[in-house]
Amino acid sequence: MLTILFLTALAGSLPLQTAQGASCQGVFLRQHGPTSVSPDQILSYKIQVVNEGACNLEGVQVTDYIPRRTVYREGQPTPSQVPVNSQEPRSHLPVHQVVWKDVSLPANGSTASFEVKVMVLPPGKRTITDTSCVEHPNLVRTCNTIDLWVNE
Amino acid sequence: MMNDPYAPAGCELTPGALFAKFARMSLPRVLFCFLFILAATAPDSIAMGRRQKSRALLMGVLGDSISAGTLSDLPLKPCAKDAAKSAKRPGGVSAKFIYENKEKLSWASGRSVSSHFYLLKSYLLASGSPDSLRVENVSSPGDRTRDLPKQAAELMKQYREGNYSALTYATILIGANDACGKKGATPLDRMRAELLQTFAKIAEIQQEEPIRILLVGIPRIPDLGAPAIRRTHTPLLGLRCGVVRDRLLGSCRKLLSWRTEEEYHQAMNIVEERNRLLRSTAIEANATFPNLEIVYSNHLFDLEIPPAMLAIDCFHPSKRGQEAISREVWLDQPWFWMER
Repeated sequence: MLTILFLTALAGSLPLQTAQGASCQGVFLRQHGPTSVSPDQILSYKIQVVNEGACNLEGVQVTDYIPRRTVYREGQPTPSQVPVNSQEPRSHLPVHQVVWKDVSLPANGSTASFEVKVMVLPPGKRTITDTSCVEHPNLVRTCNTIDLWVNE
Repeated sequence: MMNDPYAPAGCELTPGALFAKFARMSLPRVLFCFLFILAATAPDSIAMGRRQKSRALLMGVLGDSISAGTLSDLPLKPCAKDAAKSAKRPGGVSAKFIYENKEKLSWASGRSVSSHFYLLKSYLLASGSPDSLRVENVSSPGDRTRDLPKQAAELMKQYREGNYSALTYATILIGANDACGKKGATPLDRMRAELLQTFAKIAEIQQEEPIRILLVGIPRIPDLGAPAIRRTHTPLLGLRCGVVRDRLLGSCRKLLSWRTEEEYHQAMNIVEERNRLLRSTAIEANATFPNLEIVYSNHLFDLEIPPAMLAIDCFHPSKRGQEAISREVWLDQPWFWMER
């Protein structure tokens, strides 16, 4: 019993995230899509993750934080988690994430592609931002952010 | 070979007298002198990591009340047991708790949370580095980008006075007060100029390794105006967040007091524009100052803020919030990771 208490206390005192484990490198992430879009149109963009490193990566998670004032429509391949679209005025809380879990990225140049379609809501004349991140226990979390212009 | 003033008596290192002196010494004394000479003449750094000269490294923390740990002692949803323990423990709630918890609870420099200082220290230890690390947290509640050059100057002062070998890592979490400004948010061009001034100041440090700076974007402040959070009861006489924060304290009314979706998005635009500015200025500064490696993290803007992470004012992060900020933002620094 004392041992369990001791181990529990020890576990509790350890940092939640240690600076260990990011042993793999060479994973890159980019979004490809139009530079501008009009309100009430479907915006389609692709997220491409490339593993140019030497590690075979299993269980990779790719998260796309879709731009504000857009409504999620579709994701390919089928995402593990999608935003719940609701007509409620507070539907933008919490942050809208599209998540793909358990992605495989074999070593030496493998690529995984994901496509997201969102409906862009008015108003126009604004910049919207999309951030995508790739995460794995053996990787430093890598994110990329792109800006798109919403026409008038 | 130089004479060493700290050599044991009879162990002067002048070569001429050395052998003559050895001849007159007892065997243990000869061995002792021999070992001393070896130690004194060994190079500062030996290959293969057998022995390295220990350096004094500095970590710098710049920013506002979030980095200062303001009110982090007092959670909005306290665990009764923890609160009682904290009240009994001497120094558990210090006289400076309202403004500063830099030493204990700051996500960047705190010793009672898995802060970046703690994580960096763990990294240095795990990587076998003999270097010592100290942290200077020059953040201040209420500060904006206009205050950053002053903070950078203070950090420079501490760096020089402490005879550090390198500013190994610095965090800057700024912009919330710029976005919250009662008389309007700080204009983007002014923020850019003030950030570049700050980076120019830090870039004055001449060191072999690059100065690694993690610039952290503004959290989703307008989300804190959500009805679910406004209705949350605080430990302050059971008053709701809407009353304590919005009416009594008047914290960041501009971004929190939205009532319609349109107003919410206007508030979010203010934050998002400033985060874009932080990101683009980091890129600009990287090109301007070759000795800086600035990485921008948008992670706080991408994350939901649950009420359990808030302090008693329903605005600042509690200890749990500080832990979460540290953990999440650490994921975005690309430098301090161990290879297995």
